[in-house]
Amino acid sequence: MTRVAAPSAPSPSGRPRGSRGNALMFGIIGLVVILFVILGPGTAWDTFFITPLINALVFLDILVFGQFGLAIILFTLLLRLATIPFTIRQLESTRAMQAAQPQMQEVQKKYKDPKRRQEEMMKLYKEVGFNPLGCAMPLVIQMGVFIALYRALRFVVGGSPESLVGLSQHLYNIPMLQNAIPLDQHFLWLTLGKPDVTYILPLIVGVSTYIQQKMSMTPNANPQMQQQQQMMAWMMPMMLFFLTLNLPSGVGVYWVTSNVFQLFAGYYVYGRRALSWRQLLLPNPAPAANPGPSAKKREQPKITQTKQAEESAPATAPDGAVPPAARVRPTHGKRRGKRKNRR
Amino acid sequence: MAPETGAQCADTKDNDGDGAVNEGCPKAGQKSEEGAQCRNDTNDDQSNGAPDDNLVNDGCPATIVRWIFPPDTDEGKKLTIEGIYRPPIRVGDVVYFGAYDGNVYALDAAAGTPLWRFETDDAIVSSLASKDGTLFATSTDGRLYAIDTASGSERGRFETSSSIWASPVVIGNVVYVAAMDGKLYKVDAGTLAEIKEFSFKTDAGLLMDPTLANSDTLLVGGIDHKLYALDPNTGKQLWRQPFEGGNWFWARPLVKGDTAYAADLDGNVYAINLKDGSARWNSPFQTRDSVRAAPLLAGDTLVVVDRSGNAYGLKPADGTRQWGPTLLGKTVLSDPFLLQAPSASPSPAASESPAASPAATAGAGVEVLIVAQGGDLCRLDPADGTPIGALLCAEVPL
Repeated sequence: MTRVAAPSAPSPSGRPRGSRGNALMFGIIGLVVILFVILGPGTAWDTFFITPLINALVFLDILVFGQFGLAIILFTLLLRLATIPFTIRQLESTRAMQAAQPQMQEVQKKYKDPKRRQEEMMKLYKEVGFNPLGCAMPLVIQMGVFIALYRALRFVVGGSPESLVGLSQHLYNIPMLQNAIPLDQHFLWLTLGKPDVTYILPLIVGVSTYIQQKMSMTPNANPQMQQQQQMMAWMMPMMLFFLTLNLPSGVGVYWVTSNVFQLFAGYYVYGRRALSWRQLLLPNPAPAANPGPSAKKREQPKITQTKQAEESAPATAPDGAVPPAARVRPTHGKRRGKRKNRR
Repeated sequence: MAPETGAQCADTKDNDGDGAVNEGCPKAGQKSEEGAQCRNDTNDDQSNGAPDDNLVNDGCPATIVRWIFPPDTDEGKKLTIEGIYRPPIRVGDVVYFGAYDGNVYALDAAAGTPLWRFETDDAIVSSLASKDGTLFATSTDGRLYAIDTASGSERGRFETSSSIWASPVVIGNVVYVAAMDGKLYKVDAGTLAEIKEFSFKTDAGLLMDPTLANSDTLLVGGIDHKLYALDPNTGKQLWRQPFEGGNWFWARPLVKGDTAYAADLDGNVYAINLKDGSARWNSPFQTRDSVRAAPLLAGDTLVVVDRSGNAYGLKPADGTRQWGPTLLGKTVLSDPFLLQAPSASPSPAASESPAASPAATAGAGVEVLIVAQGGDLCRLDPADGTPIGALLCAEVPL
């Protein structure tokens, strides 16, 4: 029996989880667009992003006894927890992509016509549960918060008269929040409203981003694509390193916390293997074109088939395409370990 | 009588309305001074092959840059003062100011050469006060410093439990310090010991410079949207309830008679009865942006400038608009001041302490000088808000 792991198990209602997630995602994007059109970009951005963010940060600062650095960490963790369905979906999508590499290679070999190849690829994506949009959403949220946080920090811990005047325009008229001003911008060795001139935080941001990138990287059969991926694995951390050198260090604290959270999420989804030194330091190996049985056993995820699929279609379609009902199931690191122990 | 300058010399009109046409302009074949020639000197710099007109700084703007600090030298380039948010004070021949780099600087008023520098632990965003050879400076490090005006050495310090954004105010032998812990401290100017008989505290931070009104009322305000009137001896509130604005009170109020003109960071300008804290106008005057700069009274005109650089002239009696907004097109956070041409000093710099509210009578040759962010100087006629000179705002000629 051929088994393909699938990330999108059907929901109790019978609708695939992916489509519900897509609907939610498009709903959120649509709402944001409508608000921006009705109110104007500046007002909408300020009213629905910057102002609530500033007040939330001040409130969290009160909760953590005036340690604004801790408030940023707490805020990041809460935000990442709130968006964990998107994160898990992204990781599972990436995993499904990794699992489907041999099939993708098959498709690439089989179809020379680019249009047909593209169609088959899209079919394959759908079958294995890979959703390019699902992968982008956590990144979009993360980048949106990154920009909003940068703007918010300028007001909250800017420390200059300009920033204090700006803060007065965003802080709600709630005595508890007003009494917390000014916030202490010192945290560890950092002045949260100013860039870290010691290079320590930018380095941590760069390294953690690199690890996180490597962890979620999809092995690609196409050498050119793989080269691009390798370049991105370096480019993104480098870019963030230089950005953090010039941005308020509070933004760097957010980014590091977010990366650490992502590492834990990755550990949960991929297991320990994803965090091995080999995986992090060496270039990602291209998947073998026709992996032998032993390689299949080692590298390929388990492939499952629903009963219905088994009845209606062969494990491999005559043209070599993956059967429609084949799904990728995530093999969570911790769970797998437990199963091993039981054995 | 101010001479005509620049483009005003290109026509045959009486541009400044003083009855004389092109007075002070170079004669045919002569060339007026410009740019760096307008710097501090007593030479007739324009030779350039043209006949000597024996006029010093002819054609230069009324405000002539005598010196610039930090100077454009190797030593000067090492200084990063970052910003000066409040007006300097002048005592005798020395100018003192606090800068965002956390230092208090003393400069020779004539030449601009540094005399000494005193370092605090954090940024200074307030003005200084002086009394009997002692300079008082507050810093966002939460301390009030007493500094010897002659040597720049520390005479003492008083520590609060939060940062200080408001300027210290010396009244008699005491210094009032409004801190962000919501407390107004009364400190002995000689010993810097806190006077415990005085007590006033709110829950939110105090931002506004304490302002003495009619010698028996001290006004303070801050983040809780409230303006308080206190007894300067005990700290007891004088009004039944504080005056409530629409946002934080940061701009120093202007006191004239028994009325205080105050502006908040929502851009509302209020006239408040000092006796009971009631509003004198039917409704506050609304500017377009936050007001951080202190209101200014020039004759019968109340001049208010908001953060976006919109200047307004109001009638003090009812708060109706007399003129404006005159758009400066620059960010303005610092207090405007009156300049009496040609010999008068700017009013805040002439005062040893910012406690006294600047109210002056406008007359001929009086102009409102506004320092915008980035160093631009804007000059307005307080009577009608029209620009003085060819340009409303101009960069300081370097």
